[in-house]
Amino acid sequence: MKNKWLALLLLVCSVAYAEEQKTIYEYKKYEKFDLGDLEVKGQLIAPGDLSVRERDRRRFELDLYNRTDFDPNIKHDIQTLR
Amino acid sequence: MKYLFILLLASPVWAQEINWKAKPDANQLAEAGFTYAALDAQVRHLAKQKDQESADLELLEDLVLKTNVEALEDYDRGVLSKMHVASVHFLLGREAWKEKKAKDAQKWLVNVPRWHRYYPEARLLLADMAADTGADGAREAFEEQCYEIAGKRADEVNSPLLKRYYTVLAEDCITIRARKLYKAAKYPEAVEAYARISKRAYKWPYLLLEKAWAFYNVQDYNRSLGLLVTYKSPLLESYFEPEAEVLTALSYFRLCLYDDSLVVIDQFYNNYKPRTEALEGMLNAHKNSQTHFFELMQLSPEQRRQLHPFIGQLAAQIGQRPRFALDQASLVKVKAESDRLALVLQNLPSNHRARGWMKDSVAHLGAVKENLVGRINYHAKKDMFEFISNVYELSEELFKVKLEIISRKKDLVYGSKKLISDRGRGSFSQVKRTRFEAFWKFHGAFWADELGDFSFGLASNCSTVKKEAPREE
Repeated sequence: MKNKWLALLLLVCSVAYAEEQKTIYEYKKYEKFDLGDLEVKGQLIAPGDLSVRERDRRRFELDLYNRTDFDPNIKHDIQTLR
Repeated sequence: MKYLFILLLASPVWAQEINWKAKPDANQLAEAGFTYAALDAQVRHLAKQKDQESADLELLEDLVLKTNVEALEDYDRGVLSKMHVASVHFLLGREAWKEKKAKDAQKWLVNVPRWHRYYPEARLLLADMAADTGADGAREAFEEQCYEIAGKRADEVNSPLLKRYYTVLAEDCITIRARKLYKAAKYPEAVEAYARISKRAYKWPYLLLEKAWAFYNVQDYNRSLGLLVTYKSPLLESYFEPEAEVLTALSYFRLCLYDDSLVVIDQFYNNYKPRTEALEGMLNAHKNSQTHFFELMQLSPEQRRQLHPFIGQLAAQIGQRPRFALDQASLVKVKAESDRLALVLQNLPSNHRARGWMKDSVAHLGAVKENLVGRINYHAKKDMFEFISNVYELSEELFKVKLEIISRKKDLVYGSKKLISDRGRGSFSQVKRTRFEAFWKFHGAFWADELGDFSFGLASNCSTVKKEAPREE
């Protein structure tokens, strides 16, 4: 019974402590990079200038109208006979 | 004048002083010249018979040929199918063909004998069905039979109506071949088949467009454009085909003459669209009318033109069709018969035994008349609304062509290129021709014998050259 009272007291204390200690995050407000001063160490294995392989742009042609048959005309002609 | 005509028609009946029975048979009615009433009486008589006598069937056949097969359209098909008469078989076959029941249609149509009036038309329907199943041999045989007999009958008959019917029928039989070849993508053969059709044919102006499509599909755009320019001739003024404008724009587009194509497209939008919208508004106001379009067809060409420019041209096209002429002729006959019978009825004593059937018969003829008016009205309405919907569909297609032209022009600009267009518009060397064809230059006059043989001489503009950078001063 005594142990139980002790455990309860500890729990109340820890909750009270957690409420008191609020975490505050601070971010770096300003940082300066001098790009000219940056140095990259390595071995040059490609030509110095940038090159892009030229290729044709993909063209999508619209499906333009074409007559595939005159079936409706045949039906129409027969129906207009009489 | 109209009343005098009716009286003249009625006078032989008065002179005969027919002893009308309480219920006369079809023979008596036919002898008195009441053909439609006789047909009705004969169909009702045969419907009650279990074993139909050949004399009765012969009379039925005779009456159908006088009234035209359409007079039977309103009777029950089950009843008609028991009457073994070639005209009835033709009607049943044609109805089955309309419903795409090929087997049934064939079963009835093969029964129509060679000597019969409807034989060529039955062969045309059989040719169409044979083509759909891919039976080319059978199709060609049916076409030849149809063409041969229809052409022969057109020379033999005296009636201008029947002459026109057989002539148009013969043209249809020969056209079906060209169209089926086109469908099979045999374009050079299709061009040859179209060339078999005489320039004097009723259908020839309509077929110019189909032939132009065949040339378009063999990449002979100059011929295609040449054929289409025929519609600009004064002789073909009433034949206006919106699809011809689309094909013209497409032909210019394929030759990379984009500006020419755009001019045609703009003309289409400026000419057809506002007029079609106005026409649609006008027609929509009467779309549920059972007589408006019939009345429109009865107006003189001048009166129709005043209503709307397209109505005059559309009505002229509809009026040239055999169906319209046959329906109009049937209507005149039914009206005359109905008026005659009404006159006889009016002069019969009030207690005469024949009054009962005469009243029924006058009512029946009134219904036949109404059906014919409804038929003419329906077909004219259908054709006019089909025209409107066709213009809208083609308008969409032209919009796609316009988009494609804009896209290609943009590509040229981005690629710093331009079309190789700094040269003459056309030359004689661009005209493709066979060794049998000779060509003359066009000097702005549409000579009748040259119609349908025009060709442009435009070179393709599809090569591109690099655009020179502007010089720096």
